[in-house]
Amino acid sequence: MGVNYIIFNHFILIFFFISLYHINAVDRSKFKTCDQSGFCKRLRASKPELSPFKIIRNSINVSSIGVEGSLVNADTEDFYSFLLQFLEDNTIRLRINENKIIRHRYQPLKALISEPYQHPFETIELLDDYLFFKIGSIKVKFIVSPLKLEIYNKDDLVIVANDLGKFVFEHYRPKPETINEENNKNGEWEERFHEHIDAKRFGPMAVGMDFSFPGATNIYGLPSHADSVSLKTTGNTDPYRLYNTDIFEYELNERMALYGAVPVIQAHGLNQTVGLFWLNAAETWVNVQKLSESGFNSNVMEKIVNLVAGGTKLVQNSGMNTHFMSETGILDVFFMCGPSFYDVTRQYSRLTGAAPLPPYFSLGYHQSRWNYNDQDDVKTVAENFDKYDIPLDVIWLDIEYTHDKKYFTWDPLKFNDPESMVHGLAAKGRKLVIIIDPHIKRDFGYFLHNDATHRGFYVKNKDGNDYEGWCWPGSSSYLDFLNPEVNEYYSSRYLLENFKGTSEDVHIWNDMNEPSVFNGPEVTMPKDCIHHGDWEHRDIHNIYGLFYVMATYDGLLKRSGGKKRPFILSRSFFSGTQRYAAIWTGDNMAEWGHLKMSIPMCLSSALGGISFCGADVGGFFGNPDKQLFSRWYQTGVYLPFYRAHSHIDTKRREPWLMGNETMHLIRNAIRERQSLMPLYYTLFYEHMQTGAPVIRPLVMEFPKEKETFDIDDQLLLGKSLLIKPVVEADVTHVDVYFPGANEIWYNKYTYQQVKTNGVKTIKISQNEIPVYIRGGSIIPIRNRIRRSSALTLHDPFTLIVALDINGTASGQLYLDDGESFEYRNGKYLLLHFTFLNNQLMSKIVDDGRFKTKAWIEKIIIIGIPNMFRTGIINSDRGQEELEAKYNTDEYSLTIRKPGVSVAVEWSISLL
Amino acid sequence: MLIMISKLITLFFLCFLLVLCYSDTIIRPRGVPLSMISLYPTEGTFTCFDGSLSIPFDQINDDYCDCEMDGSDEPGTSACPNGSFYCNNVGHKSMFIPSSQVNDGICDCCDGSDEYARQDVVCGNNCLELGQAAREEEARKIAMFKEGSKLRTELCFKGKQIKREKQLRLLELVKEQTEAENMKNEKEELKLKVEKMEKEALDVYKEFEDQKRKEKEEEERIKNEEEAMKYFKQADKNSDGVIDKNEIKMIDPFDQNQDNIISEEEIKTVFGEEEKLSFETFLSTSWEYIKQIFAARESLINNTLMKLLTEETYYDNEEEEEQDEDKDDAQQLETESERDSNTEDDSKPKYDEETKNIIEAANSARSEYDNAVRNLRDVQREIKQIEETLNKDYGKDDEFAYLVGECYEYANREYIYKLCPFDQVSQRPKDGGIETRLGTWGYWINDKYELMLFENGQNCWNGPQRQTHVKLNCNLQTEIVAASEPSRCEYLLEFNTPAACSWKESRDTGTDYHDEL
Repeated sequence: MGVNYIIFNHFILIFFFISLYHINAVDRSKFKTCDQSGFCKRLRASKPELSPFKIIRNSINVSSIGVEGSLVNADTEDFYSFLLQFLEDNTIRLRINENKIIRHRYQPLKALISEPYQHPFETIELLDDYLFFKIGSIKVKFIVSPLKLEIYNKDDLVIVANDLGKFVFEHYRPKPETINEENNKNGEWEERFHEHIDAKRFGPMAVGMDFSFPGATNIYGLPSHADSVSLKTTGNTDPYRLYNTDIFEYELNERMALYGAVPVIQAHGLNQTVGLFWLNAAETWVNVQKLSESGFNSNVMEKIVNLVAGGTKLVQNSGMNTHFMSETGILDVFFMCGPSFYDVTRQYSRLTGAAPLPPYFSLGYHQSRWNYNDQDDVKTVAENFDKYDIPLDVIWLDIEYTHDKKYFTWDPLKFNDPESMVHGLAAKGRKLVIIIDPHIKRDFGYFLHNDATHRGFYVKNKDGNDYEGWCWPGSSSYLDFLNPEVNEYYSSRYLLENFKGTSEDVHIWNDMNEPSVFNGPEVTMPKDCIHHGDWEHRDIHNIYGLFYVMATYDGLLKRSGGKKRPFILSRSFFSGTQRYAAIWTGDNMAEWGHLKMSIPMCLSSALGGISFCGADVGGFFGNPDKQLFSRWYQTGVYLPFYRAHSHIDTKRREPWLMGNETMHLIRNAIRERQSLMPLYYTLFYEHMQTGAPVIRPLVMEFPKEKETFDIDDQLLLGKSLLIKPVVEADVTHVDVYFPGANEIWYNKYTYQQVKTNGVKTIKISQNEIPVYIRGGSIIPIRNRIRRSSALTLHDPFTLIVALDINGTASGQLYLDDGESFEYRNGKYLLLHFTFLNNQLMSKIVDDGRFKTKAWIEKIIIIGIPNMFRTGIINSDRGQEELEAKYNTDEYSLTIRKPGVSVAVEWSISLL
Repeated sequence: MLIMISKLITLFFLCFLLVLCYSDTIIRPRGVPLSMISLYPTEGTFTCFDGSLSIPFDQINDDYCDCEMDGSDEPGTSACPNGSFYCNNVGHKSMFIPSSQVNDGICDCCDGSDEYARQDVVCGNNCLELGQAAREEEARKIAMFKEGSKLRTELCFKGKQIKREKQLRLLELVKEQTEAENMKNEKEELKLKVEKMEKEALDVYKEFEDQKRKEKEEEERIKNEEEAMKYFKQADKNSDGVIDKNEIKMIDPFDQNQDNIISEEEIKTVFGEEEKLSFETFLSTSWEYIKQIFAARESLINNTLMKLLTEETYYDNEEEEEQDEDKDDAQQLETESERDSNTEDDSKPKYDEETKNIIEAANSARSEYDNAVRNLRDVQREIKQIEETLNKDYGKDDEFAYLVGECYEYANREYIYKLCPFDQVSQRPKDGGIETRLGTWGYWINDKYELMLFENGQNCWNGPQRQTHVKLNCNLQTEIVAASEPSRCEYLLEFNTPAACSWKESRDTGTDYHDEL
């Protein structure tokens, strides 16, 4: 009996251990390391030495297309062609492809907003040793042998392509008759991973190149990784991996691939910022190194510097190198020469586009759960938001609303009357977002499966049959969105007459679009699957999710006759996704570490062009305690996408379920968010115009202050709010870094001033997290809280005028109808506010053809001396005197009820 | 007469108009109930309710929030985030709505008074219809409450009666227990007496039996020695007639802690202080112990398998255990009598008539004793049950006691739910399958007797133990009317019972329909 008991206990222990492992960490064995990914192993091993590639001097042809020519690999005598182009806005593009076209290589051009075109050069010199081009302050030396591209801004060497000679281009080659250990040493022709065999019918075809940034100390970008904003050097670890996958319970501080891939970086140093965009949708690894640690011969570097007339000295200990490696595709790289951080984000947005204005509601608070049980549950939850007087813009439905996981259908019992449900929400200005995934249940009672099967709409396996994988519905196939016919068909499913139960108040969540395949290699689709156009899945993998949301966007646009802005949330993303969808950080966990990580993850996305980012408030897996829960709500206010979401196995956690105290904290947070929506909306407008991220790491605003370079536990909303989320339990004080030598930072709640440049310890309570308004900014907010943001459309604005050390401030307010594209026809209002010489002025920029009843309710001027008693307003109503009251504790002057319409220009002089 | 009536009607109409006009033109700020009108001056200054600020009276309801903390200066606008607006709702219930709902484009007051500034929104006044419907609903509720209260009174009576019966039964049982104890003692005494006689009679046959037993023992001793020798030879690898420590290390059953090493400690359990063991010492000191180890070893695999098999029915164990206890009692009794009859069987043919009679008498005394013991246990068990039942809380007036021992079922799309109040809640799939326990009786959530909790149900996969809340509604029927799983593994049943028609309803009903004019 005793023995029995012991053995039995062992079983329990083992089971317990497995469960624990399951709960706490990703199953790493499911995902490849660089060594397990043949091409990464091959390319990473290439040693820093002289590149065998050189330009064939007499092949050069300069035309309006750009500079074309041929390259040769002296070792193999393989020939390649290149095209070097000088684009607008300090951007240079280099493409290299092989000459012998056995098979075309995939180019993910959908990532680009449009095909960029060549700008004329100012100077061209075609010398024997190098080709020299100049356009504005940018000079380019394309060195003939060994192949190297040097880019100078003014006279600073800022980018060197193929600096360490790691350029590799595996040309297509005939398949050997037999695959053996000799010709398949590093998975050239066949790669095994667990039970999966990847048949590489085209053999090795990887491309890679290294890029040095001599002036840079930090590299940013490459979302998505659960890692710091400033990239770590990866000499001793695996490189950063970009391979979209559905990773279960991802770990923090990791270079492992996640759901999205944006192959863009910013290289920043004290002097300037440059960027690089590696346009490739195949599996990609990026090694990040300091130049000093790369084994690079510094004499060579010196020579390079000396070659330049008036060459500058290299900054000591600076210089970074990145090595990009992709499994297939051509070499297509964009160099964005800055020179400022904002220039680089703008230059990137000119290539891949900025997010168009999101519908106003989507910037509000979203309540989600896997799953609200039925339509009554949805109704009750919405009613409770009213009962507790908490604003709510959107309720979300996860997969359980469908009829047996068949998308575009409703569960006939739990959701038998979706029209009424949607109507009920819409009556309060609210929306519904429902999930639609790209996998299709293989069920011949399902119209979509029948249509797709009969019309050949599915991705094929390597043998040419419809690929079958396992996902939520069980056996599933995957629509091939590379096929325009599929897009046409699929987007039509969203037409209101096709998708019964929906209305224009229903928006879409595209999940699982990496694509997720539960039983596939690395939980995604096998690389040897075949897409439309005979592309292998390996060619297009990282852009599949973008193709998918493009189809959805098209569908939502069509259903309103092109009139209403779609809202889409996508889990997978690529360069360009920002034009169609918001993203979130995926299936995070109810842990403080995940709350903390949500900041760098969304900052990285924002730098990668995707500002509309958030994390599941509360954490998807697990049950947050009250403190974590309320802190998450407080933090989430300051990330652009604000949605609470939770796993089906967690306890219910609507805001009122954790007691009155927690409910109040959450209510305050959500109200705070609603009050800030005019600022958010204005920032999204500015983003659309300039590509400037909505949330920014401190380094963007303070690029000369090296203390800011690594900070990612704080963020800026626009350039005017500084936020330090509280990401630990039971803290009474936090250290906040205040950037800027001549800045004044005003506590958002008390208006207390901080003039320190550096770290200051701030006392905090449970009620709020440290948020500071930057002196010099004017922030538009709406203080009237409504049940939903749609109901605030006519409500008045409050302006917070925070003075800088010179007693001046400025800011903008953008407004329009919040839902249509009429702003493209000029129906918007853009107000520019300035405070100068004790006078506040509102000027209407552009036409201002949007009609609104909104007015200015209150103006609070902070950091102003106690010397004014009244304000004289000049507006369309003539001159009036306004009451002004000074608060000596806050050093603030409140101007009571200017009452003037936002649609007219006005000025207020303080007396 | 007709003129009179028409005059009356006119007069009534005029009054009505007057009332309307009056209510419209009355000098009070918008959004303020009559009872608070005196707090809003029509000249001079107004002081925020919290005393924080005084403002000129004409800044009341001027769509700017001066009293930022309590919102008292803007009862009729949406300016203050924490304010409230009073809807008169003539013809229906008047009410307060949050200021955030004023002029937001949604008609919240049935008289439409909350959207006065929105030209783009037309709110009708449907207070009369709603009021009518509400009054009818209220009347229906009151009627039901009245009827339900009557039933409840009966149920209280019934509950008290049930409890009283239980108490009476308990008293009876206590008496019975004493009687049963006495009976048991009496029978025990008799049994002992007869058994003594039996022993004396049987002693005559004892010598014969002793002889027989000795023979049997000798037989067993030889068998044992042979077996010992077999193991000894097996262990004595070098056949030198003694076992040394190295030899013992080859025999893995001695590895008691299963760490694959036979340690000195483990050897000591066999060798004691000796260095080597001869067969004699082996037989006398170690064999009994060794035999156990080997026996245990052999049954190990079987037992493991057994355990794994029983594991599948793990969930049911708890319930079975209780039954097992009962079984154990019965088995104990059975084996006792079995053993007795066995000895009897062995010697039966040899007894003479008289002895046989004595044995028979002894057997019958034993059987009577066993019956007495069983009877006592039955009484004690029932006492325990009744005490447990009586210790549960059946409401303020025992109105819920009538539910004891009853079970109610409810079927939804997938499951059939079964509620046995004060006992347990379970669920089984409609298409058959195993029943899942959703909780056993826990407690009332508070002293209002509106919500029951059944806790410690079966564990959820990857989740907590199931639990069920049962919400009680006043109704004439006793039945489950809804079942849901609002959160994973947390269930909610809605249960109608007249017993719930208590003071709570009486407080809610007949609330103010004061049509404030």
